[in-house]
Amino acid sequence: MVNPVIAILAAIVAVLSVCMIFVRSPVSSAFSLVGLMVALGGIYAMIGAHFVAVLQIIVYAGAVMVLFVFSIMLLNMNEETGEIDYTSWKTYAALGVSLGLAGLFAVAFFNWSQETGLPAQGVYTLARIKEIGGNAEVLSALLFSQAYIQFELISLLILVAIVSALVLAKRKVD
Amino acid sequence: MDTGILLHCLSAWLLCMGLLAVTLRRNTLVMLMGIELMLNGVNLSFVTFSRELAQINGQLQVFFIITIAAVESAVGLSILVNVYRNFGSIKTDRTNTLRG
Repeated sequence: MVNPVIAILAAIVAVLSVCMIFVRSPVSSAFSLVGLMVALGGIYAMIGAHFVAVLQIIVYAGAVMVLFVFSIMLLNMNEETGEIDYTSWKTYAALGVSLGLAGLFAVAFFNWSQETGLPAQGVYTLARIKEIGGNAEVLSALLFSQAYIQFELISLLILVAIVSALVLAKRKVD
Repeated sequence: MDTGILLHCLSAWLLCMGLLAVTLRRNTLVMLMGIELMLNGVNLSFVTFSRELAQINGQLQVFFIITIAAVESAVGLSILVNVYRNFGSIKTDRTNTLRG
């Protein structure tokens, strides 16, 4: 049975994702995306991924969305709504393709859990994680033992991104 | 209906709504938001699989995806500001210099 809190949060996420596409102004889109990310962080916290939940709130709902809202302010888009062209057949083709894809994915996940059953389980059940000392402890132990090369590569990627953002922010590149 | 199925369907829904935002909207900013939405759908799928299979590696992957998404949106938005400076608009049908 589904926990009612998870069901309510999932309904909020589904409704806000539709709102994000079909509202007219980009500011409303950005704020529905903020609400969606906070609700998604709630879902992560409910299913025991506490570190990912905190990261979702801080990085996504905090940093990334502030960046989006800030650039909306910077670009001053009053008449730039970019509304959907309901007369074109391409709109309905895109609607059909993405809704069909969603249905296909749902059927695939349902069949996966019904027919083939779950594959071999790992060791990190919720009880085991609680015994070790919590989600963040398990995750950080793994991060600095198994995945430390990827961690260092990510820091290199962030450095490259800082340099490229600086180059792009210059008015004239010569 | 259990929690895993609900969250898997929600992640598929988020991915497809992100796809719809990228294909339907003419505003580049909302298209970038659609990309973020797709990444969120994938993250939810990773965390749900990690919970169902009792493994922690999925959440590690989500850590990396969130970092890369932040980097991607920073670079993408600075490109967007440059597009606005050069064309005076960020609608996709105004940036048609390379169209044949």
